[in-house]
Amino acid sequence: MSAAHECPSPRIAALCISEFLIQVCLQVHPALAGRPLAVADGVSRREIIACNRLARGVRSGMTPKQARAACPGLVVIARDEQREREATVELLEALERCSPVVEAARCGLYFFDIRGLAHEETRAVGAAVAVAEALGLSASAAVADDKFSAACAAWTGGGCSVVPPGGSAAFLAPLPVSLLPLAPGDGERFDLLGVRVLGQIAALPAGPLAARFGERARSYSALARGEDREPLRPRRAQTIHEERFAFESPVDRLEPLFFALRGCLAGIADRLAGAGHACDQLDVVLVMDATNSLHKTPAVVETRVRLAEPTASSAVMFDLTRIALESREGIGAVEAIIVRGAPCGDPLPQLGLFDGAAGSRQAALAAALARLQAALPPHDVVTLQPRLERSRLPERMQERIPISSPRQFARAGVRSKRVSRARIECPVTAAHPPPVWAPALRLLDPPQPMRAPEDDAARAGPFRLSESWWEQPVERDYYQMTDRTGSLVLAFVDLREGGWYVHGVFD
Amino acid sequence: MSVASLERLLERRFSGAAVHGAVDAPPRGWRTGIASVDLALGSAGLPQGRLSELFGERSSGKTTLAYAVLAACTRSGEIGAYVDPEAGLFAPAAAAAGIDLARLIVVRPTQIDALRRAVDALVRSGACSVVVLDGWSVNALQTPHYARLAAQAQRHGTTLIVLSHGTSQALASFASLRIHLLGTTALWQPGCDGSDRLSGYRIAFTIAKSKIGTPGKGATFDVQFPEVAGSWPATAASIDAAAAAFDGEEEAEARRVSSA
Repeated sequence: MSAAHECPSPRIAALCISEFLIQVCLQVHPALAGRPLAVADGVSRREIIACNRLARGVRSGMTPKQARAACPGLVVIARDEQREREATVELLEALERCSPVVEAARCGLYFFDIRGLAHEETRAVGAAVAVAEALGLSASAAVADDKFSAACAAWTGGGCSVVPPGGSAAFLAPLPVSLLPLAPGDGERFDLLGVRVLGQIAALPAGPLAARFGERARSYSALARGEDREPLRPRRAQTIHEERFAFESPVDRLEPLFFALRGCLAGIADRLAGAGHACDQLDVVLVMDATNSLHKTPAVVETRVRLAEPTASSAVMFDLTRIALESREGIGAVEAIIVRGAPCGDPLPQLGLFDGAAGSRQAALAAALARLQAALPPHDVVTLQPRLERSRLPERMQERIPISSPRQFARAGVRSKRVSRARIECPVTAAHPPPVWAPALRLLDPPQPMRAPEDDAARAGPFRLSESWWEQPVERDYYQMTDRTGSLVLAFVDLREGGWYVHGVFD
Repeated sequence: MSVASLERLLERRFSGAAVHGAVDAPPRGWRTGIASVDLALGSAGLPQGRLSELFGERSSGKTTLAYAVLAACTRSGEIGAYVDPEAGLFAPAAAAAGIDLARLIVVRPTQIDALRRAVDALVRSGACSVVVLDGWSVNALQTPHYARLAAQAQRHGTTLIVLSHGTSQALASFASLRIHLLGTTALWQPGCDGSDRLSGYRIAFTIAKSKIGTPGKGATFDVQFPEVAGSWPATAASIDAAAAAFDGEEEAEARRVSSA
């Protein structure tokens, strides 16, 4: 028996539910059918994330007010994530009766494996569409050799379509480039180059494409040729560990809350450890006292705590959760506490032999960052990066990057060896100290006025900068000089107004 | 009286072993990589787990020395922190000084309370090997704060460096090491067009206090600009040339891709 018979070539079906969020909302509010409809999400439901075809002029990212201005009569409803989850689970469970390998790629797009059904493919995808329609969702489906081709066929074909084996490239050739998962700006670049359909990308040689688009070129080219190698990622049943604690009477102090929290987290940590799992995110739900009518408090207060790394240590979980709760002001009277922890996909890190040995540094960093972010606004806890290409003005030559996660320092550790611009070797490991040092400039932002220097004062310059003529014109002559107090400074004279300013101090 | 004789005396007085614990090992430290500074500080360098004060007037070289320690810290894979309430840290200069900025947490509090909490969080966590306090941080902290910070730094092995003007008695008291930066001297060099060019500056320092090494030592070291004839922030000609080269490459690639 040949290998081809033992392992048939992959055939992947895609089930596409267009306007999934709208369809789910219509299940909850059937009276809105036939009206222009938009779904809002984000902070305080201020962002439109989906709309139906009747909502002309409405785009994702608009505020509800903008959307209503663009489309009079528009109905904006809040996203119902609970119902979306339920609909997705129902659909996946139904599809798993048809195929053992089912992947939920994103909301409204599902893949399943139908290899080996050479003559029954049309019936198989028809059954999938029927399953979706039985759940009240209008869908289209298609079969192809790879996920991207199948998804494109489902999006563009409608109903049930089958791309024959080996025919993906020919099928994709006339389709527009916009179907690719393009990085920001790449669509415009393809358009400027006159490349508008996938067949043109497939025909391009790899070298020039890679020179233009870098690593992404390989992905674009493979997808356009119908050679998407990404395997199916079947979903696995995920157990969410949940612990609850109800107080005998509502508590409004943090101490009893933390006492209960510690017990809940210990229970979750035990269950995670027992299953050999780790958790990198916790959800804490505080059920508030409903009888307290003096203060208008919400029924529940939810707090999401992101851990620095996957862990099953209750102490680490407790530290970060406590900081997160302490940073919230005026929690109010709490009736019950619910803590949920879902096992993460990452493998459990190697545990140390002794308590506190494993991951303690990373956990300490996470705790420090959590405390900093509780005490300061996000833009005051940052890393800085030089941006020399952005501007020649010192105040624009750097960028603040807010610290989103302690994990970025772990990633930075891998990259740190690549920093070759630095002229200083690590003194700990260097055999000989370097002879040359770079000057340390302390920036003064905004620049401070200074008295004009004497004509015979020693100074280097001028170095002329002229920039931003289209917004705020800047014309400066920079000098390195010693000011009247004897400090070595970077100063400039503003050519537009004639004043002298200190912009930095060499310290 | 030697330590051994003191120990014997105490044992005789209290009828048994009265002195417990081993003698502390000499503290580890960060070598700055500047030969004259390392020579003056001794083998350990800037001590880990201690509070150090770098003091001097404006433009005396405090930041240069702090950058050297942060460069040593981040290049060895550790994480550093810079408390910068005056937003004076200039990323291009810090990167040129060898600091891996991806491993440096920059905190810019604007309120005194926030600064105290931030410093406390950084030092007590033990996650940052070196924490530098700059700007008006020194004025925001008082004797009890320095006492707590010094204790937390010792407990977690954090090197705490405070840049100051040398006017805080509390800081001077709790610091294990005080380096007095005496000032900078510009190094001028005649240019080819007759004008002066700044090639660098010389920093003089002296060790005002050291609980680890010997105080009183002093020396100088030179800081040189990357380009002798260079300008700051950058040489205009080099930026223009780089931009022109980039534009040329873009156009050429566009032509190649179109023709292909």
